[in-house]
Order: sequence, then C-alpha cells, then structure tokens
Amino acid sequence: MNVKMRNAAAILVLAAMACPLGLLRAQAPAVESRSVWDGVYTEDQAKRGEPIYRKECAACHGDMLTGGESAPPLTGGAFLANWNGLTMGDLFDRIRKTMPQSVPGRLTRQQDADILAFVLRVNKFPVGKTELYRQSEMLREIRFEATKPAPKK
Amino acid sequence: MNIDGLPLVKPPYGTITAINLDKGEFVWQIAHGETPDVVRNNEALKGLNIPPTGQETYNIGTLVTKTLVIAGEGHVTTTADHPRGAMLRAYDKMTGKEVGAVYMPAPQTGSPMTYLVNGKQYIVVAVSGGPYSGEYIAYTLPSAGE
Repeated sequence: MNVKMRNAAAILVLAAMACPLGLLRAQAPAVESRSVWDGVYTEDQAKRGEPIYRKECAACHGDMLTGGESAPPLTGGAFLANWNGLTMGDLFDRIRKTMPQSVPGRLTRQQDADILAFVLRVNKFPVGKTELYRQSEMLREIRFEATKPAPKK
Repeated sequence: MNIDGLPLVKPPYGTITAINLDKGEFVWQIAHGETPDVVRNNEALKGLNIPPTGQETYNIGTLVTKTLVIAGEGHVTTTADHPRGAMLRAYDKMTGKEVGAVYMPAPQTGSPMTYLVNGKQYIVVAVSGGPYSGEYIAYTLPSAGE
C-alpha cells in the first residue's frame, strides 16, 4: 500500500465514523423537541383507554376526570400545573407504581398507555398518527407542557 | 376551559374571602396563590403586567388562628423566588394582607393544623401532587439560642 492509498483508506474510515455522528446530530433536536402538543397518541388508542378508565379509575377520579374526595382531578389547572415541565414518562411511572390504588401495577403497560391516551384526549391535547408508547424510557422523551409552545421561527 | 393551555376565564382563579356573618358582607377578598406558570410565562401575555391571579384550587383547606389565616397553594409553580414547588401562606385575619410564606416541595392537600408542645408552636401540612407522594411537613421557629 503506497502513501496515497493509505491516506485514502484513512479518509474512508473517517468518513464512515463521521456519517453516523452526523445523523445522530441531525436527529437529536427532533427527539428533544417533542411534547404532548405534537400528537403523541391516536384516537383509536384513546377510545380503547376510555372503557378501561371508566372501569379502573372513574370511581375515585370521577367520570369527567374532575377528581373526588380523596383523588385529584386528571384535568384542569392543578393537574396541568403539577405535571407541567415533567415528562410523560414521569406521569406513566406514577400510574404504574401507585395505580389502581387497590392493587398498584395490576394493569398492563399497554392498558396504562391507553388510559393515558384517553386522559390526553380529555385534556384536549392533539391526536397524532402514532400510538403513545408503553415504554417508560421512550415516554421520558415526551415533555408534558401545559401550554402550547409558540411556533418555531 | 382553556385555549392552548391558557385559561379562558378572567382571573382571579382562586380567592379567600372573609365574610362578616353579622352583616353578611365581605370584609376582604384576596387572590390566593402564585400566578400559574402557564399564565405568568405565556407568550400571548408577554409584556403585560398581570397582577397575582390566584389559583383555581381543589380541596385546599384553611387554618384560622387568633390573628392569621393560613393556607397553602394547590398548584406547582416555578418562580424566580422559589424552585419547583408551592407556598404555604399566612394572611392577617383582619385585613387579608399577606404577612409571610414558606416553601413546600409539593402542593397542599387537605387543611393545615397547628399545635403547641412544650411552649413551641408547630404547623403541620399534608402535601402531594404530580409525582410527589403524600407527606406531612411540620414547620416551627428555631428555639432561642438555635
């Protein structure tokens, strides 16, 4: 291998290394900027979640999600304020670990995600084309923002 | 009811009112609670001087003593004065003027209560909300010499 060829090989290696880094950099902002305003659940999923909510949650949190004597509302100012700035992962894990109160963790991850999709719909967050994830680590990439972010300029 | 997260109704969103029961008249009425982050930081309201709006409250009880009305906030806020959390506020019972506030890591639930042990006054409040699990917090002043 002469010098010229060795250089060419080195450049190829560099190019191969640079490429995935470049891709990562291009993709990172898109992941970071996702919030509940970006359509993170589907209408069908919210429809699946509604009967599960009615059966498992409504007795304490109310038919209209407005809360009860010992259960907080899942809609309205206090609910939005208390989760504002956190992530869907935080909210999902809270449900996984503490709900339903009689037997926490009894529901499957899919059921919890479907309930959460229903809660998002009641709170008038926009519907999207993909279902809400059931993996906590992926849900942690979705920010819970109480107000719609200003359009990017 | 809100548009893009901004409440549609005119503030105050939550008040505490002192009523003279002999006359049936309001003695004072104040907005209770920090202006919610969604209002204070809202792009649509940028540049406007919004007075304290109070908070829409849920199951927040008050504690009344000889001179004070004490009540916590039901919403989490993050301001220049305090990190993510809520405030427990004390008002002059006769005027409604705020006379002090202490930080809580989560909103109040239920009602605060107070008791005296060996000459030391305590205030206990239950807090929880969002991912913060229920806790009781007791506040007291440092003893002389502490």
